[in-house]
Amino acid sequence: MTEVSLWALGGIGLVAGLLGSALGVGGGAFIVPMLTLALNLPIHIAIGSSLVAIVATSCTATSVYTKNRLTNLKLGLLLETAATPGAIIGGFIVVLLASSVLNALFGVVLIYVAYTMAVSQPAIAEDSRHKGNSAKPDNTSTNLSNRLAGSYYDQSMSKVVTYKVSHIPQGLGSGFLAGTLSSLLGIGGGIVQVPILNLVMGLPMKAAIATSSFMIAITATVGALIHYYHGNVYPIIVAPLVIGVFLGARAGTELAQRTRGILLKRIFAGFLFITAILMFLKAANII
Amino acid sequence: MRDDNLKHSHLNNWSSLSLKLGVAISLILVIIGLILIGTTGAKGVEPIVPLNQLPQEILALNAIAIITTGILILLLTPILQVVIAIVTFSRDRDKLYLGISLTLLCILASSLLLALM
Repeated sequence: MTEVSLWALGGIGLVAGLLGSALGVGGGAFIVPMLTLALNLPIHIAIGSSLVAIVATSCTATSVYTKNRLTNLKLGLLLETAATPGAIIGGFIVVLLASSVLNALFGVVLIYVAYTMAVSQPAIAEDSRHKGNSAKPDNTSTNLSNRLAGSYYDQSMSKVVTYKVSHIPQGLGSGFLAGTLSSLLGIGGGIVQVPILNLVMGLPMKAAIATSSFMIAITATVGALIHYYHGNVYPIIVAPLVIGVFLGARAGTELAQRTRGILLKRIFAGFLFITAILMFLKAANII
Repeated sequence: MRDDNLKHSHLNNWSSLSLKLGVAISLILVIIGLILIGTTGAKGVEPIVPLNQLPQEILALNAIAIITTGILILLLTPILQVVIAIVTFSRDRDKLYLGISLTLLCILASSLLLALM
């Protein structure tokens, strides 16, 4: 491993962390293709490395969200009972798949992520979704949905936002899918989790992102441990990646506040689309 | 509502603190390992040092062993969140969530044991 490679790994991590925190997209969608296309690493090692980096970023983000009471810890723990078995299954399926299949699968995921970023609209104000929701967590109730209701103080609106949780079976199903994809492709799974938490289960977007971040930390840990078992985690590759991701994530929060999020998303969507094409070409052994 | 928030504020506070500490300790070890590699020169892409050899390799200032320890601490940090949740729900006598957290810990422990085999 040359010094240039170590700096390149750090640079990839830095950009991944920057984009991840600025755009709310997990760094895996950037890390895995860059490690395979730019540094020509085997995709199984790229996936294992990416998962360790994702643990670092999601732990950092979750520490802030949890302190601000945005994370619905009970809901996250419940959904993780489905996500973690998915992650274990994904972690064992991945070694059965050829690199070309994984490259192609990753290309498909990148197309999906690029599409969602390209069509995303500015966040709807929390107030418009959760007006008058006077959910009150009731720990004595046998109704699981009632017990999962949450609240947090929204600084931007200067008020307490309360919400109820519904469609728990759908949440468990999406958790399982997100866990499987996480270990299979080295992504966090937020691209699956956040829309379900927000649009189906009824969490406000901030709580959905915070809860997803908490879940990603645990899911990616399971995936990383399975890849560790398979010998896909190399310390000398992971180390600069993790440092870069951590620094990038810190800078990304500043970037998010100073730039137009929609413009950044459109540019990144275009980049992801091109990367998807390259992954398909790599899958076909053309590059 | 206020009692629920107070009850779970400990869970949130301990969770946040443990996450910060875990990431910080992990990063410190990783940085030390990279500095050692920088001063002694990278010797190629080496896999993780076996667990039973970690203590002596760390004392020998083996950069890979130090980075490996940092990685393991990072991966243990989210698991610690579940342990904190178990302690909190046990103290609060919340049987449902104690059961959910214990189930989750069993799944996590099995993947950790597999990795360390």
